Amino acid sequence: MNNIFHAFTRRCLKENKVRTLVTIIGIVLSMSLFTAVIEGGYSGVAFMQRSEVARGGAWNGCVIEASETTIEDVASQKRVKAVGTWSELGWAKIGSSNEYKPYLLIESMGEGFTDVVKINLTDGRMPENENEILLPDHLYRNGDLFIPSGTVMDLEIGKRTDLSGTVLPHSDQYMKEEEQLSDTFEKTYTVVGHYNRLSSELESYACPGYTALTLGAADGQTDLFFELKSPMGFNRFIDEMTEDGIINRSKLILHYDLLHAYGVAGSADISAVIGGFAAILIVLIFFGSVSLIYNSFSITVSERTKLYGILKSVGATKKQIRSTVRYEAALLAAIGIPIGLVVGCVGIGITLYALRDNFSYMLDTPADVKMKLVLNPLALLLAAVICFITTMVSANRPAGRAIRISPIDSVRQSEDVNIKAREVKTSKLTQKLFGFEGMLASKNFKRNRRRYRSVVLSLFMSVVLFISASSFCSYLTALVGDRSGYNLRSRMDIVYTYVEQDSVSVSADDTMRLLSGVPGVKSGMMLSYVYDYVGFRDELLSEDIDQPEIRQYFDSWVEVPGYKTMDTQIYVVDDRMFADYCSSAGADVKDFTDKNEPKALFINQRNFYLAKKTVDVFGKDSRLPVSCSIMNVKDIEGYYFRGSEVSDSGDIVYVYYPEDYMNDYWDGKVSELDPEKALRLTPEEAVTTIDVTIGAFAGEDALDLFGPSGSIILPYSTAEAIFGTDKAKDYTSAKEMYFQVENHTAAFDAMKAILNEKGMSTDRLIDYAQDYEGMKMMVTVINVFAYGFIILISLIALANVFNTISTNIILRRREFAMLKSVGMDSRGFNKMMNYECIIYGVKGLSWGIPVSILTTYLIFLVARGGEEELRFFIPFGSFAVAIGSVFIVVFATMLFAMDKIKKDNPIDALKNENI
Amino acid sequence: MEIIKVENLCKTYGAGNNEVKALDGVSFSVEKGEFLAIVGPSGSGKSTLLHILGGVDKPSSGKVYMNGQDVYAQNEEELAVFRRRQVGLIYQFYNLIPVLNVTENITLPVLMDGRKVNEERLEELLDVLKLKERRDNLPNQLSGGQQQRVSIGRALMNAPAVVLADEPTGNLDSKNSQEIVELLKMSNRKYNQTLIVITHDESIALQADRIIAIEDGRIVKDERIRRG
Repeated sequence: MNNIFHAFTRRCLKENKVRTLVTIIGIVLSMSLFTAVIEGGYSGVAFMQRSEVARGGAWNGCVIEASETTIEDVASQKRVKAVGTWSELGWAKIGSSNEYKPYLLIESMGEGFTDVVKINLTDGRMPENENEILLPDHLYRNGDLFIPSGTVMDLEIGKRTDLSGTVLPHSDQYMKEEEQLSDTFEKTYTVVGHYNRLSSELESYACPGYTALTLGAADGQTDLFFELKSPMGFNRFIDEMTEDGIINRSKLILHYDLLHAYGVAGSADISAVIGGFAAILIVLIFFGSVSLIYNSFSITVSERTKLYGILKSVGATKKQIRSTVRYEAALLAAIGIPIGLVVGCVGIGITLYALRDNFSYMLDTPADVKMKLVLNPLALLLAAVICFITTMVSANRPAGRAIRISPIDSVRQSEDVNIKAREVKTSKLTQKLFGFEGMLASKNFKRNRRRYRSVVLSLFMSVVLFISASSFCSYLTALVGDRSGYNLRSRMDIVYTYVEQDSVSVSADDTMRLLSGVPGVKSGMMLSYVYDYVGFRDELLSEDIDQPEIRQYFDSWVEVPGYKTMDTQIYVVDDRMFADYCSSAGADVKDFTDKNEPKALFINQRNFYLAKKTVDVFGKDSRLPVSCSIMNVKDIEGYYFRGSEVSDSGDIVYVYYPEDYMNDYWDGKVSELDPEKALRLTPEEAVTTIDVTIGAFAGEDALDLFGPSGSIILPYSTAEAIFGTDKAKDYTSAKEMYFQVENHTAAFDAMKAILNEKGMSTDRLIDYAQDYEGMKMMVTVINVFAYGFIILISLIALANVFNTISTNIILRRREFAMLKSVGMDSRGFNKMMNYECIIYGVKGLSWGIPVSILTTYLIFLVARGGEEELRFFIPFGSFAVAIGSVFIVVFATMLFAMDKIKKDNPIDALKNENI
Repeated sequence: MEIIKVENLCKTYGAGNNEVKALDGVSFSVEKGEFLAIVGPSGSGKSTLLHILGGVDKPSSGKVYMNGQDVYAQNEEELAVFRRRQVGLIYQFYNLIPVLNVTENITLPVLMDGRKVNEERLEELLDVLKLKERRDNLPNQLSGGQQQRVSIGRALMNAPAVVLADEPTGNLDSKNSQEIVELLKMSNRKYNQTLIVITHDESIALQADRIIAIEDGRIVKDERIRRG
């Protein structure tokens, strides 16, 4: 390659500053997008790795039942960064409610253990000596055993063996009578705290013990945790270790979540998902950028067709022409790529920094792990290479076109003129509507379809991309917004579920009072609810309810002649709330709370989810008060209820079988039930009923809170009067306390402290506001990325449109000069150009809008998967923005280009391009 | 010695009813060192003939031999080298590269060949073309005559065996025209180059050794001018 072509290229680029700038901007945009996607993806993966290290520890693998020599061999490997061990001290019966997990598995932490395995304390501290013990939180969550910090407990500890004395592996499930504890000894421990349960890799779900941690000597199985300097090399390391006989694969446990984040182990790993998303984005950007850069080059090349022709006619070879174009591409890439690299890194860096809390919420990461930009030189190089290839690919085809044309045709630029009259025929209507100028514009459009198509295509792409992303965001927001009003809980900030237990000394009312007293609590309420069968008299039900789709809701388990039974929610609420509901239903609460004649409220609308219908339960003309009955099948001592059937005489009978006989049947000792042995009862004999009098239908406020649920509402004060003293407990023992608060985090912490102080578990205290906030944060993240992406892609498309339109006009310089020379004035020009703009805009939109509606619908279908209630809507705002901007961009570009050529002296322009 | 031989050259554009025959069975040959003028009305096919001789357009059928070699039997690459070394083309509208200066435009064929510029020859050319003072100017800073002299310089730089000029004076006034013709004639004599000029100007045609007249793609007259 020699210099004259380089000089030629450089001077041509300088000569046409605007085009060169647009091309460079195109390359900068693509490069910054590539960089942002690749570095963003990489940072995401790195973030997950750090989160997982913070959550579970840095260990990559664990060798179970490791011998002294194995430990030494592994620890001495060059590729191993750190090791740690724990040893089994023994098992102790702990008395949990989970019959498959009766033990505490006590592990003694060895040296380096806490460096490689992360123990996340929920309260208290780590054990500091062999007399202290740390308990896992699922001892309560899973085993209902709440042992507060500070408790001193005596344990009888032993080896877990089968009856012949063979030690059982940790992961073998509980075998009840077929296993035992041997070599037992007594030990006293002080509980110093609790920690989040270990991952299922370290405590398998089958493991019959809750893992507790202590220190000191232990003679049981020792497991070795190791961390590699480079987790990517995990598989090779294990292969070598296995070959050398140091590690036995069957004794190896993997830290899957961490290895997944490193792209090692497993096919469905997280980094592959992120990589997949990144790949999709890269492909999108690739197409966007190729179309922009390609257009730029093809314009440049066609502008220079004549120059290439001259070069060829004085003897330039094809190769030389091609490499001239390539040199130009390389030169522009060399300027654009470094700028894009910096812009991309700064852009994604700021974005990730601004969204760091959102990411933490989304992935529920430990507090000290934050998303941040992690630069990877290799990834940057990859981005640069992809961008360079994009540029070269874009330059290659125009270069090919440049060399194909014969020199004399290039010099003459006669390629475009091969048209037939038929091809540029325009309708008479056009001429009538837009005049002579409009007809000319329309002919121009038809003359060079290919060049126009690229403008229309880039307009189309921008419209579709913009609207799709907007739809995506609005549906997502709708989903979250919908959730917020959907049920009771999601509108409340904090919920505590109080369960009456012997171990709890504080009454529900006292707890409610204590929690309501927390600063920042705006309102609180307490309620209980259960589902039960409720029978409604046939004649009282509304006509709407007798529909085939709704009949599936009528229950066949409890069938009573003259009634329809439906699974119905029964709410017992605090009296203050109940009084409010009564007054909003226009009734006097005193009429309802008379213990001798208690009445309930009823939410008459009911949404039948499967039937997708909301209808009234009681008919319009049912006169209040009406009654319904809670119906249950009676337990008969010594019998099991088998189901109801219709007898030969057409009556409903309830069929019971003796317990022993049914047990035999279930064990397979009896193959078929003998009807002779059945006890048959009439509905009157078999069904217990509790009559509930409905005093009024609940008003808007109850509907607002509980939804169209067809529910019975009554106050705690009349629960015993309605259900009876014994039964009332079934309906009221679990009480949910709902709070709306100012600052949910502060209130949550304060409530937690109160519960801890009273020795009550905090597991059932839930910060829903936090969940909702997390959801909102996720929407923000998605919005930021979606809009960021859209804006950048739109910029690319915009540059593309600008480039194509302005060139189109400048290339037609001669034609304009001719029109000028025969007397077309600037008004006429404007008219012609306006009409061309309208053609561009209308063509772009007439493709873009239908396709956008289609993609919006597809997005709606996907979104509806998450929320059945969601209705299809079109984001009209985005459509308006899209339509408006299409015309603005097109007109603005036209004006810019026309301004440039208006200064032309017609005869110069005419002479300009002759041979 | 015969340097160019044209055999039954045809060039058609379009097809069917639209078919236009630009050249229709043209045959002739040119001696080395000959100054040939081609005349004829617009659209007679004379430019097409010249472009085909120069290797920038392709014939539909027929053959062109230069120095005994079949020009259009060469591949694209060889054809490019042929254009670069064997012929010099001069157009009516100069066709200079606007972003290159006078020197660069003149030396273009040499530079493209990857060879070193023969400075002596360049100086001589600039001198003869009266462009010494203008060597660093860009084409748009030159007058029409000067631009045409640059394009002549470019055609002559490689000392080609054949110089082809398509109405070289068509865009110039009579004083400039005569200067250009003198230049071409001098080069023709000095280097024993073959010179083929298309012209409308009878006074130029009459300075040639031989005149070929073309009408409707056919040679209608081919006569030598005898000088006293």
